[in-house]
Amino acid sequence: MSARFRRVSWVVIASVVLISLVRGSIDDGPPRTTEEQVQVIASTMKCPICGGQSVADSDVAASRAIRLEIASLVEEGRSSSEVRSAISDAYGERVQLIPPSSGFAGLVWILPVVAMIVALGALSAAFARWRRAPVSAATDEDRALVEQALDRR
Amino acid sequence: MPVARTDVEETMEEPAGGRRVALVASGVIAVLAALMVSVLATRDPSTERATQSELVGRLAPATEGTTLDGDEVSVDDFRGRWVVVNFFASWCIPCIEEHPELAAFDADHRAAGDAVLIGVTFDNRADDAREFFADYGGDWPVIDDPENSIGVAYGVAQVPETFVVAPNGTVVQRFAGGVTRADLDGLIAAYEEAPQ
Amino acid sequence: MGVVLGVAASALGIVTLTVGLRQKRPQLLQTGWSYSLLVLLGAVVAVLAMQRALITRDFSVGFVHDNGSSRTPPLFNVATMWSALEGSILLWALILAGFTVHVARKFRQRLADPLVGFALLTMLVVCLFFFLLMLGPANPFTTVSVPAGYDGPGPNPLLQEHILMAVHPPMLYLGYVGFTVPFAFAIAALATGRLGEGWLIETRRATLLAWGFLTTGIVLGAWWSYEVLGWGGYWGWDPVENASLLPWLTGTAYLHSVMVQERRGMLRVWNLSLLCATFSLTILGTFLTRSGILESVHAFSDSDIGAWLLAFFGFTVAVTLGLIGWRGDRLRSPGRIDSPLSREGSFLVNNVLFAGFAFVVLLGTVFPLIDEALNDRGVTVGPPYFNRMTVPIGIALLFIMAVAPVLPWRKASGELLSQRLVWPAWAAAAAIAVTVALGVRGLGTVLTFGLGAFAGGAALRQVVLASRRQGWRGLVGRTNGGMIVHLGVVIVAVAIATNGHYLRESEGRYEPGQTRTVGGHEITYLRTDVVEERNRTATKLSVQVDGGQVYEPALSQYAGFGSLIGTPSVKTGLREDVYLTVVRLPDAGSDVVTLRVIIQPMALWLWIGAGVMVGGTLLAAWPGRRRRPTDAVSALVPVDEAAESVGPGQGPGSGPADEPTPSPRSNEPVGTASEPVGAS
Repeated sequence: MSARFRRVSWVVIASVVLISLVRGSIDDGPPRTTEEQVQVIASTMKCPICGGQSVADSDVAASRAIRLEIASLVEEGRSSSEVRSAISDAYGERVQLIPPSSGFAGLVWILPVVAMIVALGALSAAFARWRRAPVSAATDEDRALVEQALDRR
Repeated sequence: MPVARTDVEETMEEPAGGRRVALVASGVIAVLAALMVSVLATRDPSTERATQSELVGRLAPATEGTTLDGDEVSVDDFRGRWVVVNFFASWCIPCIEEHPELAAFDADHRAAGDAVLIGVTFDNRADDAREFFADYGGDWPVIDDPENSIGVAYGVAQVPETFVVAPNGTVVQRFAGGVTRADLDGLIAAYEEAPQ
Repeated sequence: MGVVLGVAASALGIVTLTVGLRQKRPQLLQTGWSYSLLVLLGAVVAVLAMQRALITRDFSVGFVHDNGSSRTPPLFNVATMWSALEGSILLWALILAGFTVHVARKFRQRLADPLVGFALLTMLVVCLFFFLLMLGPANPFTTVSVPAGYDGPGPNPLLQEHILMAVHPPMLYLGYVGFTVPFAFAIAALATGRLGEGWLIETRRATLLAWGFLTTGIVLGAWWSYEVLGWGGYWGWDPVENASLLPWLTGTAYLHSVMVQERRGMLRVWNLSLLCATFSLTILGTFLTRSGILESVHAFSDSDIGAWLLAFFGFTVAVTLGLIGWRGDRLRSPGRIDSPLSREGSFLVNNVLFAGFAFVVLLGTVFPLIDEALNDRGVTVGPPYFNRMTVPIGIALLFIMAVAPVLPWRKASGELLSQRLVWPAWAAAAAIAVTVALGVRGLGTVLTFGLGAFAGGAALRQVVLASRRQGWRGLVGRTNGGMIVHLGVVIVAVAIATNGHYLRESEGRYEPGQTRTVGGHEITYLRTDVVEERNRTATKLSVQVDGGQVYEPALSQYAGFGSLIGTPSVKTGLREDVYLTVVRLPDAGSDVVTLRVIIQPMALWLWIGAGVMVGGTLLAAWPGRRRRPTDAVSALVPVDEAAESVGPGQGPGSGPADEPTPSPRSNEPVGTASEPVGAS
């Protein structure tokens, strides 16, 4: 494959990818039916007695009752966050599977992002430093070792 | 044969900062690990955390509906008296066990007129609940809640759960699991004595 | 009694080896072999005793009293040993003792070498810990008095539903314990200061196989969760699941990064840290699983074992940090990473990504406890958090997975990358365009498809080139096997993305004979049957899917367990699974049942992809031709014929198909190892 064909390829590839990604990230819109909305909200709430399952997945009486409640609130026109607060008013914050983004709990969101930024920053700094640092020159002893190894081959 | 490379290492420029970074990094990790270990070491098993309630200190949610006998009843009707709201189901063993205790509590306090016991079904069909009361006795008002919406409003996770509501309408305590008459009496007594 | 033998043997072994190392007395070090054998003997005796007790249903033994039953089918009865806490420690101890003996045997010629001595010492210390656990808080051999006619409850019914329950824990433990071997050598290397040696290469196969076992164990757990637990998912970011994932993440990073140390002697601190982290996280994970401080679907019974495990974790972290800090000066590597656009550079980035992944999972898992400690409230960190945080990291990893294998060592030019990646890039563009055209929306999902094609294309390219050059040998060996593992990862990633995006679930009430259409499938409820089996009463619903086969989701009552246990029934298909669970049985006087139907696209491919990963691991463990220091490990560069090397399949499979790369050092083989292969 010739170099020019390759360059053209890359341009085509880049355009196709970019256009598709842009088109692909435009969402269909929020869930439409009540059932879908209930499903979405229920999957962000934890069943109070199931040891970790979400309200959407579990079938115990409490979960089914909560799903019914979510459905009636959704039909009243409440937003997802209002529905979630209504349920946590009764069951407590711990029933929200998504940790709140404010307060101390917000740390759980911020810390990984900060850690990543620090890590990538350290990486770039390290790469920059290494590029500047001189590479050692081979000593005569090194050359002798290589000769030895090549001869032994 | 392995060849010691220390001589080559020594001929290189060693940025002194590198060693310090490594030490600082291990120090930071050591501190974080120590913190995590101390947090983990002081936790109780998760099963012990179950009995708090969001409702304590707040006005009781709307608790009204049609009873098994067909009457309309609401907790608000009883403002001024202690109300014990008991969520139960006929198939639940601890509910059967606590039933005589509730019956005794009801008998006492209905006579005295200072406290009222109201039952609410949770995941229980009305017919089954009526049969339950027929088998085990008791005649306090029991709200039939086919959609369990009152249960959800109270944050009921699993039957039996009992909530004690003070005369001013605020929730004072939640009992998860079976409740005894002594629990209820003791709680009411403690609250009546304590200065508000 | 076997336990006491194990404790005694480990303790004595530790003392003897320590003395031998301290005073440099090789004869004492030679005894390490006998001590390991004794430890193994102790473990075997203990396991045999427990199996005997289980099989004969000897309820006077505490563990059997709590977990055995006459109603358990024989195979599950044997597996009952590891279905609960104390027995699982016994299994761990057995595997650990086995690995200790393996190390002693493999290095029996070098037992007098302090490096091996320290390694054996470390393994014996770990053995001692686990045996002590069995003497103390996790004693399976307590004696209890048995009332007449007593029959035990049997293992948790969820563990009896499927044969895989018998296999999943041993696989996991083989993985966890397997990593103890390179860990022991890492400690030994740090303690003796001999950090540049071949112990890495000699433990390489053990590490690879341990990783394979751990992967298998995790996947089996996910499969069990899907087929047995009935909530319709395979991964819930449950603390116990996370506990097994954490060492896997650091272990995977180690597996890759160790190549840099072998080839260029670099990233030593990373490798040691990753290895020690893997072992420490295994202990931490065991603590989280068994201490009961985090609620979980997989919860084991709690006991005081938590304190011991936490203490051992703290001890391990302290020792490893101390050793690494102490030997810091010896860990300076003789080389530098010349350019980020190089194999070393990409492995470094890989390390950072995996470390970040592990950090997120660890943070999310323990954060509720931290919040509770400081705030006296309770937050829950659930799947939405983990998904949101790990999907970007996963996507970055897919990208690196595509690019890293085509990067040469030391330095790459844009030209080189362009040559090697253009076909995979076409595959990626096609994949992205097609998926968007088909209506897939969501940046994460689309990117996963695209990058999956990219990485898959790159891996395929390597394998194809290697097989063209070397025939069947192009499929085995570390690099080629690794490419196949990458292919497996791509399949799994695409399956996860599809499944997450296209999952459809619907709950409905059915009368007998009623048919509903869900997601293009016809679901017909036929009838309910109640079946009495040996250890349970099962209420099975017969449900016909698409007018064909009848499936039987059930709700079962196991003797000795209060609540009903649901069993799903799954129609597996190449494109999607139809997943059926019973939500509600008919109330008295009615025939109506409530069924939940979940359409799970590509679920089968998850398991296929995982199978490819494991297959690739086995291929990678295939003994390759012994490398010599002068064999090329990267693309051939234009040199005169005399310097052309033989090049077995260890480098990226390059050949006549690639244009030669211009390079400033065109007269020397590029990227020879700066350390000789370890002598033995």
